[in-house]
Amino acid sequence: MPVDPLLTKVREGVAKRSDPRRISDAVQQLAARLETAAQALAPAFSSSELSAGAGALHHGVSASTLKAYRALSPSAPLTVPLGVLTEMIADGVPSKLASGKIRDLVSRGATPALLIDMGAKVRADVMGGIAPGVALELRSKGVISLLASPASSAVSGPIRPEK
Amino acid sequence: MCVLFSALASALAPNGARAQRTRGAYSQLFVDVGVARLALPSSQAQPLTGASSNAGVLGIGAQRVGSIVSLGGQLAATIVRESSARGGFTALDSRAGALQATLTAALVPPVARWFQADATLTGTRFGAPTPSSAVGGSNQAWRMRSSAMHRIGPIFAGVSVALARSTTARDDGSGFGRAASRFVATGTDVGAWVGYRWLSLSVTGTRTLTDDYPLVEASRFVLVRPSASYDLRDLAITGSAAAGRVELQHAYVRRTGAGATRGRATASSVSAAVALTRSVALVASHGETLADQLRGTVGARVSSVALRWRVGSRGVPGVGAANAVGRRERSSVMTPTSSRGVASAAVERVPSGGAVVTIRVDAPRETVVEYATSHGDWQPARATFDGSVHLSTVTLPAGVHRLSVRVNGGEWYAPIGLVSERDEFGGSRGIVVVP
Repeated sequence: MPVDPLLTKVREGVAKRSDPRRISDAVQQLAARLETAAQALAPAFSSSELSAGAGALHHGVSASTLKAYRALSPSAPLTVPLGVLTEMIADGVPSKLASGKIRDLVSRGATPALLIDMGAKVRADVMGGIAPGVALELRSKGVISLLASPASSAVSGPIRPEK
Repeated sequence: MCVLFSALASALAPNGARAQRTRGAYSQLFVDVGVARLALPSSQAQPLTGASSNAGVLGIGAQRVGSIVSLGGQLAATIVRESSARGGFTALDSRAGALQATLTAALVPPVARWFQADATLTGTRFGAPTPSSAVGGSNQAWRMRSSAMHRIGPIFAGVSVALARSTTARDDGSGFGRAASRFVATGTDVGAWVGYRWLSLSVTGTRTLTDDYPLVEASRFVLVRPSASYDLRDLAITGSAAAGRVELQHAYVRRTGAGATRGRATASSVSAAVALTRSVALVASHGETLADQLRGTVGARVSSVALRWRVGSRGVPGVGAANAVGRRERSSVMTPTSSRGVASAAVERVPSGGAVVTIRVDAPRETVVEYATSHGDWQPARATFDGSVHLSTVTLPAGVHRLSVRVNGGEWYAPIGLVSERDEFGGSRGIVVVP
């Protein structure tokens, strides 16, 4: 397991002038989340993917959801999908709804840029007064209209992130 | 007596024209506890020389604000400890108390998010808690309003029309609580409002037709001739500003009589809310209120101070957030958005990979603005002052990053424009996802 995220957490606590006990608790909790994420995203994962997975777990996403994402994308990085999922849940979208929508979009071959763009639009909608769940429903339909069906996506091969 | 409700409503509630906007659905419970000092002006019909009173105020309310339907209810009680008021209408009394219940509902159709309809029902019983009390009565009122609003970047604007009707009954003063007089008032108003960043301004024109001649006379207007209804025209201008933990509001009303009513009156008041903690705010107001024909209350000079405690996910409401049901304005004492001194961030993706985050804080030159990111191992860096605002740009590679800002060594928080999450250290941070 990479130790960089743990060191970063320590530095964050120090920068924010937190007391040592609180920093220790935060590091221990992060370590536990990283371990859970590593197991769920196995066999392959990058450091950034692992951090994104731990971030999603922090917001209540289940390990089984991470496993499902990995099963859906065995070779493509999940950093952005997990990051956008975390953003949406933090913004008030129900966890189950957000998980399902992102999974659906990933299965249809949504690129990281598309996912991030959709996340930004959902955020703008929420800022404008639309309920988070409704915003995600609306915006995900817009993205889906740009994508192929899951069947054709599967035929075309694994999802590759934009560079 | 229930002039206090009018005064506190003007201090705590939003102006009439301004609809509310919020971020998502939420529920909340709030409790207001405060004291007030009232002084009634003298009237031509019934001099109330030196009438003044100290009062205690308790208010309890609950709201459920949804994206489509919002509901709210509030109970408020006032007890007057001492008074020297007299008058044959809604006035202060030495043994008076008042109880007011308000129910509000708002609807925002999913197919027309720019539109909001809301309705308010209010019932008030005032004075006469004992048979020996000289003044008592009740008031029932409803109000329906339709609003249309639009936002272009940092500018939001809207218009509204409303119709209201009320019935006021006053006891005859015999001490047996008999309703001797019953009056009806109808009000129509048209309003418009505009807001930019931390400032907002609204203008509302109201026409009220009422047969409550004692109240019209008591508010220093002359009845030219007997009439089935007396006509009053109001122009109200309200300005508000929110900066950090402080929210200020100033209201000015000019009233003129028309038709069988002659006279002119003006009143102005200031209100302020200061957030003391995340759930407690101090709300104060001072100024004059004109007689309210719809509520059946006389005009008064009111100074009030109240503590507001709120349980809910949206922090402490400011000057204009307590009694409103529906969409809240972006600006709030504890959830500043684009206020002066509050950081905002904009993310721009770079075609070649990564992203550039621009952090901006509109604050005086001497302000110390710092930011830190997970990518930079949370090493604080200081933003530079470019002559008008504090600016800084951060380049981030692909990945999921966190970013926090602090001003003058205060609490680290997520800048506006980024999704915010609580950190493990008592502050918040923004999330930046870079493809």
